[in-house]
Amino acid sequence: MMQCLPCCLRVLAIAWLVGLAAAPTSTYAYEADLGVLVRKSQRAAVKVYGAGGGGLVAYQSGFLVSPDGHIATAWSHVLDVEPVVVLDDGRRLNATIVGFEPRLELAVLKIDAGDLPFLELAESLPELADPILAVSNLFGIASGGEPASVMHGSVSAISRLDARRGTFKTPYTGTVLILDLVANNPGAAGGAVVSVDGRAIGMLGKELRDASAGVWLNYALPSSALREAIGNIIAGRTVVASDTESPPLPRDRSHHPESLGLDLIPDVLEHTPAFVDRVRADSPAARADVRPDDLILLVGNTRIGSQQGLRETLRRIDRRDRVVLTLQRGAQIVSVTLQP
Amino acid sequence: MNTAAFAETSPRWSPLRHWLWVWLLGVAVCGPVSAQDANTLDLRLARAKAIRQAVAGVADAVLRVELVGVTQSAGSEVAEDAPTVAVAIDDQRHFIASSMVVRGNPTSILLVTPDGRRVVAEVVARDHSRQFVLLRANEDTGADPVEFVEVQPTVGQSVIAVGRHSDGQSPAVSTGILSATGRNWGLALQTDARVSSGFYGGPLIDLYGRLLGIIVPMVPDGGAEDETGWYDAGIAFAIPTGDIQQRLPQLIEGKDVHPGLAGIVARDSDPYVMSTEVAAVRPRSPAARADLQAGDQITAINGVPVSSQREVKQLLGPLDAGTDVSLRVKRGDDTLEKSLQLTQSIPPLVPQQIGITAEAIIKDKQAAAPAAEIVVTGVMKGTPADGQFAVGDRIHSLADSDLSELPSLRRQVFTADPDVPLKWSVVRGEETLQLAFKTQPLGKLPEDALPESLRYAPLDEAGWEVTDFDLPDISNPAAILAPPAKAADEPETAAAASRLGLIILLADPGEADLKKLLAAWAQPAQALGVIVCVVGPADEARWTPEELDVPQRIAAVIRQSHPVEPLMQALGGVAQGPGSSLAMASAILRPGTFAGLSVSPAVRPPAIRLRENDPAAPLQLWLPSAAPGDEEPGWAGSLEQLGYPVLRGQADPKSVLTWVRSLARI
Repeated sequence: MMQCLPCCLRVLAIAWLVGLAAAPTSTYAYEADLGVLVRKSQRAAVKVYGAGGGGLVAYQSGFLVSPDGHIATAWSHVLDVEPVVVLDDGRRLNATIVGFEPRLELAVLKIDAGDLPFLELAESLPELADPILAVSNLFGIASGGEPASVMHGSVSAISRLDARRGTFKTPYTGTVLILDLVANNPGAAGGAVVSVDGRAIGMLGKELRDASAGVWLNYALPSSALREAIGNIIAGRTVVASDTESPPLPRDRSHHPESLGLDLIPDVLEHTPAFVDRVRADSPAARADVRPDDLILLVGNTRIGSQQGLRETLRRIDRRDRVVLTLQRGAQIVSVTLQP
Repeated sequence: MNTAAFAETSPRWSPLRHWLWVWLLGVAVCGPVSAQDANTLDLRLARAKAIRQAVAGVADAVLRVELVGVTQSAGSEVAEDAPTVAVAIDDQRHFIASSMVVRGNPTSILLVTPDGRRVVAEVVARDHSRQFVLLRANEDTGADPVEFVEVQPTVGQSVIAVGRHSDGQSPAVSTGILSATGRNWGLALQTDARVSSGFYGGPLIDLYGRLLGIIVPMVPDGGAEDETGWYDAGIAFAIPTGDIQQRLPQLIEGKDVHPGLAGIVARDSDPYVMSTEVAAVRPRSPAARADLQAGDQITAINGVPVSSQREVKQLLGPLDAGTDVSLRVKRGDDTLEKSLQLTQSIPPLVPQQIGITAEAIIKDKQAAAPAAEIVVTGVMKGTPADGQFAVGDRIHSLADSDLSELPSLRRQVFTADPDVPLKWSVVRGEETLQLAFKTQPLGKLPEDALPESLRYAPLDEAGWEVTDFDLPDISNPAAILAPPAKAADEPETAAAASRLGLIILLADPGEADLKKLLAAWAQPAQALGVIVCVVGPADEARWTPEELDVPQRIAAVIRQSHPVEPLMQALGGVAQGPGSSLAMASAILRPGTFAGLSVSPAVRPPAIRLRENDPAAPLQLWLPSAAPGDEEPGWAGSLEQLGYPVLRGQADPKSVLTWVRSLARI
């Protein structure tokens, strides 16, 4: 449905170019007018509202990647609760978390709607200096049915990510798009970076500092790296959100952190991250080489947002069963199997 | 939509097409096309291609710089050892980098070569005004040097900043326009490209890939605490290529470039005031050597007319130390051409003495315009003048110019260069002598502090008394130790030896009996001929800033009834409390009356804006030695830096009063 208008404009553009300079004519399929591109980007953008607090904003951005309501967004504290999504047309819908990829800090949401405008994910990386749009709800400026904020810039560099959040290095160290555009601000994470052909070439990441220079980065995770993970999540081949539907087992028949030999850091926050404080000697955790300061990201395929979530998830695993943990250890993602 | 077509059909870039695109862009930006057309995405893609092409032309010259062993300091957001870049400029392994590579004193500077090696680079020299350094790599890096071409940057033109991102392999690009030229007092180009640490030291190029300048961390006066504070803000600065090129020969020789100082103090700190009046000329500065004077109006610099301080700063700002500059100044009705060589630093004023006393004697009082002659009245032992001058010598000229006024003699000796002998022409009897000798710092009291000419010889033997001193119009309590008042002989006409010194001592609040404080001073005061006056605060609880000029007013009252030598007036504190603080503030902020200030080293210095000692009305400090084990106060050093001589002495009345009389020495 986005095809016909651009076509005629393209003809006009070619005519203009030929008439003016006899320049080589363009053969690309892209919207010839920035305004059209902006609207297309905005229509696929969504505002995501969820959990916040402790100096963190309770909203972020996302964009539709399928006509059936799949939304790519950043995996962050905002998704510690089932989020509410506001579409470009103003509709306000409850979303479920379909799954996520911790290494990319990517999450996919699903809303119950159809025939939605969406952005195709580009297969290849853009080139240096390519013009781009970044569409997000940075600082929550757009509210209700207002279109998301659009910024224009270009690709500053295509580089490997070497960044940190606080003092922690990020797990993702693959290729990122560095943007010549001050795009990464509170609420922008999950926003789309759109090339002039109208495809999403990347997703704005969470705020990060360059590990060596200390400066804030303006960057996006490239679609070429996100495509497969998004596809896997939609196809149900990967991690899902915590399952609290099934009833817990009796306490003495289920796992809990202590039964695995894990002492966590004191649980003093509403969502205390599941950081390992100590590993008990000769425990399943010790045998699997779990280490202090490991952060538990997943139990099996279930996302662990907090120590509370870890306990609830372990309550649903029989004490005789083994437990597969996905851990973040420094900048590494490690998978371990704990045998009771 | 077929995005793959983009890559497949993207034509190989030929120079002809490159120019065509650039031309197209030019039309789009400048030509008579609508804003709608300028927004077309074709043009944006064309622009992206032109940018890539331009970047490709310089990218091989840009290497990432890593720093090792940097002393970390908190405060700025950009890390002290943030990786930056350097640009290869020749095939001699020379690179230009930003001052970022030296500000943390790294033990090692490494260049990351295109094939990933680390090559050590040394700093050859740096430009202290322009925040860039010249590096030389210890071995070949494989970098492809940039070409220096002559380009006249135009405000509004497209510019591209080129740096490197964290992996050091991919170039980083930020585009924008040239926002301004001649920024930061004529030093830098300004662009709205977003520039952070990975761009510092990198090239700023135009759409043709031609080098316009090198990006440096910089903020204008008062802009931010740190020169990196405006990273990614759309306000970035680059040093124009020509300015770098011009300094390369000097830098390659290992000689740093420093900002050139003239030593001109502007009348007004507001640069927008339409005046170029010189308020003061710093001693020993190029301006002083060129005989610029307070009151001169600067009308042109290197032939360029100026009418405001802002224009003066803009023209002098980019000039280095060692540069010759010609000034046209207006002095009264005269227009003078002055030539200055700017210097790297102006040494602080170190006031000098030669160790004489002198009088100006009117030769022929009946003449229509009586001429004065300066006669040496005393020579102090162990001083530079000892053995050179004799009592009775008539000084006719100093430094090859005629001399007939004492203040001029004082000022010239006070501000003399300690390394350059002063040349004198002196008449002794019938003989004219040419003398030349160096001065010595005034901060040392000669062994023989009181030659015959400074000793007190009263005309009568009247007894000195301590009395309450009632002051008209002044509500401060005071007590004075002085000889009986007499109908004022004009001090100038009183015989030199019968003139009195004066010291006013400010008491701390709560001092009940001022007269009692004078008891210890009675004997030496009378013997040495120095009036001592103790003054308390008007409000018995505190001294207030409104009382800053009370000491000067009291001195004026005393001078009406006693023959006080103006040069022998000093101010001090009784103890080390608020009275001493006020004395300090008063002597420094209200110069002209007191030639000396005597305060305890333990005094708490007042919070005042210090200014350089005025050679026309100089002030010197008498600082009784601190108690053993106590450190000398830091403010004493600060005052010395500003040209106030600090004499280390004793606190006892005799020593203090001897110093008061010695204030008249030259």
